[in-house]
Amino acid sequence: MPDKRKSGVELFFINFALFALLLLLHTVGDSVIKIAGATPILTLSALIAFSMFASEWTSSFTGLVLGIFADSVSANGSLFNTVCYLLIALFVSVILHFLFNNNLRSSIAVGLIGSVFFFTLKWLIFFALSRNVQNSLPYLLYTALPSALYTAIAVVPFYYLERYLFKKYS
Amino acid sequence: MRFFFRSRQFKIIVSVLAIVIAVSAVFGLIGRRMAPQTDIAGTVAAPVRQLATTVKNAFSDFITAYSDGNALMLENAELKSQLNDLREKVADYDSIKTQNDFYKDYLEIKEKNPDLKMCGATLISRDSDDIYQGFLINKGSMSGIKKYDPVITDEGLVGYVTEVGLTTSKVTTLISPELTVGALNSRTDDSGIVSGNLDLSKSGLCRFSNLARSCSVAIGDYVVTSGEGIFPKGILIGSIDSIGTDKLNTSIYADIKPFVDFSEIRGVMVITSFNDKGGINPEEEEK
Repeated sequence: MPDKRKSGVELFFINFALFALLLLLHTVGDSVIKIAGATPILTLSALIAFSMFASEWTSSFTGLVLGIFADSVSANGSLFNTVCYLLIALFVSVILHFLFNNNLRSSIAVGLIGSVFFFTLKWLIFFALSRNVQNSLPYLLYTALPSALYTAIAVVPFYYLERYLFKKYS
Repeated sequence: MRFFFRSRQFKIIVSVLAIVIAVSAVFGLIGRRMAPQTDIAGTVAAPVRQLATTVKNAFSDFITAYSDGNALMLENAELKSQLNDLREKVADYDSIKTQNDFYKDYLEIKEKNPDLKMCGATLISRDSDDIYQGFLINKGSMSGIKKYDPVITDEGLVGYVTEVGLTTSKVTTLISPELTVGALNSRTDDSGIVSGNLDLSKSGLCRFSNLARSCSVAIGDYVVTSGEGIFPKGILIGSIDSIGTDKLNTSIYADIKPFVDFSEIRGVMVITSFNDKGGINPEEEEK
């Protein structure tokens, strides 16, 4: 029993360090892995992969905390990332436990659903419905959706990493 | 799955989400402040972010020095400084003599404009997903910063403060469509409005619009703030890059290249107070 608890603590700290590092990389400046206008949100990719293995409760809490920290630097107000990250983490966790098998194909599917939801909602709220922004469709087509695809692809390495970590420490 | 949605866990998650939304709405709409949870997260993470930004800047300087040669970097810095001096001189020659020396450095800004109260701040992080290059600074309401305070560097106008926390604030840049500035052509005194738009933001430009068809703006002219609204008069914005007419052919617009390179900003000054604040108060406008 103490070994199991110790493993849980180790898993927590490793994931904490991973998320902290990804958040820092996201907020330190221009992303080095940017391709044209598409920028992957690696914290979202890592969260999706993490939620595939963690419980609904843990996923939601992680999404909430990660979203709050992402919002503390985001130009899009103080709520958008918090709500989106929590909902995506909860959705991925629930769907993986009740509907999908936990495998690579599922990781791509939920990654795509989660990231498309995030970027489309962002475009809708901050561009399409904003009275200050005109002609926002090119942003959706050439920036938001490629970024969503890029974020979904980035789920794959995190899926393997989380699978390894959860196997080792659970 | 149905059982999960009826479980206590799910109800707690929904309750937490509802509380977060309610608190953020109250603080954002009524208090005009950063939501408390975001404020706390920003304060907790600020030292780490500052450290990370310092490391990144040092690394970036090292790479620049290594790839381009230290001599080139020094020469570049010197040329930039000379270019800034020349810009100031031209603007001085054009019209606003009293405002020109304003830009030599922050100390002179204060000497020439004793009414300006400024607060120095350092950029601690950026949202790399923000196409308008907004950023977070390490000063907040504890340093006297308020929402809509103008932000400048020695090169010119950067933008304004859009969200204020206790120890951090978010800055929206000139190229964002959220920001609108009353502006003047420093040579001809033609007035108009400067604001960003989505298409221009990709090339780091903003638009000087609502110019009368009879105006005589030219490429290379300098554009400064007119002093209406939340910005003090005479702050350099940028130089005119191209000129066009609007769709209805009723007015002229000019695309402006801001003097400030938003991707290179490391330190800024926030103008916390100045005399003759114009009649346009964004808070009242929103109400």
